[in-house]
Amino acid sequence: MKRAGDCLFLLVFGLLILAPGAAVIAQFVPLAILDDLRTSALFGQTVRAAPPDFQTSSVFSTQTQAAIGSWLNERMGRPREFYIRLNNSVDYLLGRSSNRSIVVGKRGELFTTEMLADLCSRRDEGKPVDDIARGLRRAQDIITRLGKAFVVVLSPNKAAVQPENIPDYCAGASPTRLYPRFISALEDTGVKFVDSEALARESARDGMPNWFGKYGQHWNAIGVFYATRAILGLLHEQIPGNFGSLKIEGMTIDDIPRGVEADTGLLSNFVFPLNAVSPHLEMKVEGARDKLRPLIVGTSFSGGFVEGFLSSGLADKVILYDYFHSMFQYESVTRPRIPIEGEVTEHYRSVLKEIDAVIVEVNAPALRSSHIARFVAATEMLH
Amino acid sequence: MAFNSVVFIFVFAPLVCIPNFFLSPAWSNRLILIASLFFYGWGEPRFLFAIFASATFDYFLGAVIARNHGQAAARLALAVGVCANLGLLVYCKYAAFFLESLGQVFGNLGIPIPEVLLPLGLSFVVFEKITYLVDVYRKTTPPAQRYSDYLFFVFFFPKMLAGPIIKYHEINAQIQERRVALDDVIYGVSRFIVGLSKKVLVADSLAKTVEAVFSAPADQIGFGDAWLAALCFSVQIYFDFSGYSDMAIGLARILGFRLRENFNQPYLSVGFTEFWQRWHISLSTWIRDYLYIPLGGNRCGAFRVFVNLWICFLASGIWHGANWTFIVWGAYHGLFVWLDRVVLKDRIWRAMPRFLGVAVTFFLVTIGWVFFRARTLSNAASIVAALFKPTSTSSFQYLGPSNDVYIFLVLGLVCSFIPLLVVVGMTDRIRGFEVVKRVLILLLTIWSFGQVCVSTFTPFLYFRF
Repeated sequence: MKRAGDCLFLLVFGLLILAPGAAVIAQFVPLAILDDLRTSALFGQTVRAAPPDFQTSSVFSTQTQAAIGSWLNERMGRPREFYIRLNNSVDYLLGRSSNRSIVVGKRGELFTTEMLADLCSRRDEGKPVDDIARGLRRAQDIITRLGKAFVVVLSPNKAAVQPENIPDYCAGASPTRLYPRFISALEDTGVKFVDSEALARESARDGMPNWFGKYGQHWNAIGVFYATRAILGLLHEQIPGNFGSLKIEGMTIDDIPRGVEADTGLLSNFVFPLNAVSPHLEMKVEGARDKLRPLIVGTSFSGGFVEGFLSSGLADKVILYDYFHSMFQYESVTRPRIPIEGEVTEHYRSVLKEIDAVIVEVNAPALRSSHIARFVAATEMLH
Repeated sequence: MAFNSVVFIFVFAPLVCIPNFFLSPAWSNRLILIASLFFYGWGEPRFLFAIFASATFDYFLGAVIARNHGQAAARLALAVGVCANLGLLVYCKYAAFFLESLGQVFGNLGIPIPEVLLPLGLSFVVFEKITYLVDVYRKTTPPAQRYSDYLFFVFFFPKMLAGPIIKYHEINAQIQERRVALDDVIYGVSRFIVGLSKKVLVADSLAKTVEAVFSAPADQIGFGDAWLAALCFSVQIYFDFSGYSDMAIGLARILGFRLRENFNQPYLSVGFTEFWQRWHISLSTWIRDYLYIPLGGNRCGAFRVFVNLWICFLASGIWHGANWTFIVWGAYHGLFVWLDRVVLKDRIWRAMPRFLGVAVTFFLVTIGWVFFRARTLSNAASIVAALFKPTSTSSFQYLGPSNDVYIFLVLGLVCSFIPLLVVVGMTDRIRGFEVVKRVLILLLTIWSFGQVCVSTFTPFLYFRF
């Protein structure tokens, strides 16, 4: 009996320790029955391992060994995925994340370290946002002289607009937080901007559901609606054209997040499904005679605008400069985006003829993101 | 190749341990030697040849000593061997530190400071090679019958990187003849998993908090964070180091070898003398046998014993690292070991209940760990000062600690202070507890494997859908 127990123990342990190696071997055995063993469905982009280089210098510097390790890791398939997902789920129960950029707040709400650092940081970094605001004002002047509209959108920090579940060690907004100082700087310089955190408070007063899901770091369609409505208002002040007014066509609430609504949860790679209260909103433009032709310069939050502009009928085509680095054209929410080749500043110069508004989106935890400086520099070159 | 790496756990260990179970001792020795050379060469390819050459030199010196017992040639060979090994260690580990320290005292002396990378495990390997030469000289052990046996002793991979420091006569008989029974494999697997869990589940969970506080500006650390970091480090270093020893002992057992224990619940000690009988036992016995006793040990007058103790603990301190913080840590321990002898053991520890003695000793050891962990002496002094300023609060930029830090800190402290032998004795009497233990080991296996795998997967946070 004892011997049977010993053998069973070793058998189970053997399976646990040999499964990842078996998955590596399965990569080279083209049998359909091994598909499940060799594939991994972990979510998230990582740096792909470079093939090992077996030159003597690489071996002696241990670069080869590190590359072999990474190469093997990537091929350990389903067993590795199982270990990672299970570990991440246990970590989540313990109130922590294996991803250094993710923080588990109260009641399992996920935040990023950037969000909490933006909200709770005790650092005082002087007034760096004044220069950024002045740069945006210069850009605004140049673009409006070209007959285009210009709006800056400050997309919100989840921890700031939904602070009820932030960790206790983040004891509320720091007096040195950059966001309110940036708002003041934009007001002082006369930049046309949308303060989405103020809109979030208005949305809460209107009785609307939260803008951020439990497992998400990007705003849902409710946040996009409020921000887009505010943008439309500012655009109507600057350029001729009747782009209509934005209305909510319908809203459903379920527990199935879609797209970015649970992006942080997906990146956390748990074993359990990411069910959380998820409002889904449809918006529509009414009374419009003209279609907006926007150029959006922004962060990953700008994806919400793209979807909002197209799905509501506000625009038929949207050009997005992602971090003023990559360029995409969107013509439908159902069709894939079209990458635009070439250099951003060159394209920017030529595309101004086709658009009627430039919308710059800046995310609250990253107000000093370099895409703003690159955009301002490129705009000043137009002048 | 660290024991807690994916390559070691899922590739190297199975490839070595599984065939080893079915081989005769002779073929097993060949497999393990080749695997050990590969293991060391994987992490330190440049120094593999240096250690190999040094080991070859020691082997021939051992033969010279054995052939010339009692003669000047033997003493010369021993002196050459010890000096060569210590010279290698001093050059690789301490040359830059000594020259920089001299420069700080006397100004620029114009001597170029060598940029030498310290080979992995060199401190352990050098001490083991010295034990071989001295033991052959003392006739404690015969010289290695075969060159391959001596290489096996030097390169045996379970103990090579972080001990325990073994002596040739402890392993020689096992090299020649051993049987690997199923019970050995089960014990070894369980011990390895316990060690891996101690390291990746407990020690690594506390490391982030320790790093955040110890790297903060010294004048911005408050009382609460200082104590949290000090206690976390006390648990971290114990679980990390004892965990590594557990993995080494477990791996060796799977391969059929029994290595000496390196830790015996050191935080249950009363007094620093007992602490060093329970902490890093292989190092403390090495220092006793190869430094303290040759210096005269306890056989001298009180002042000479005092000097001998200080030499040993300063040597212990600097063995741990080339920094003044380690030297101060060694001196701190030397001071309390000496105080044990002159006053504490007879007048203080005996007069108080054991639990109080354990608590006071742990308190003092924890303060000593601050010096061990700090980057500089001033950093250490600031943190120690914060430990005794209850009204001070932290002002450095820091997110956390998250709740899991407190969970693992409490778990670590509880496990450190529970007398495990008593617990094991009690549980052995419970029917079916063996099954519970096996299930627990398997659960720890899955969890600790998960921690190891997750370190290899770090997705970007922001990306486009």
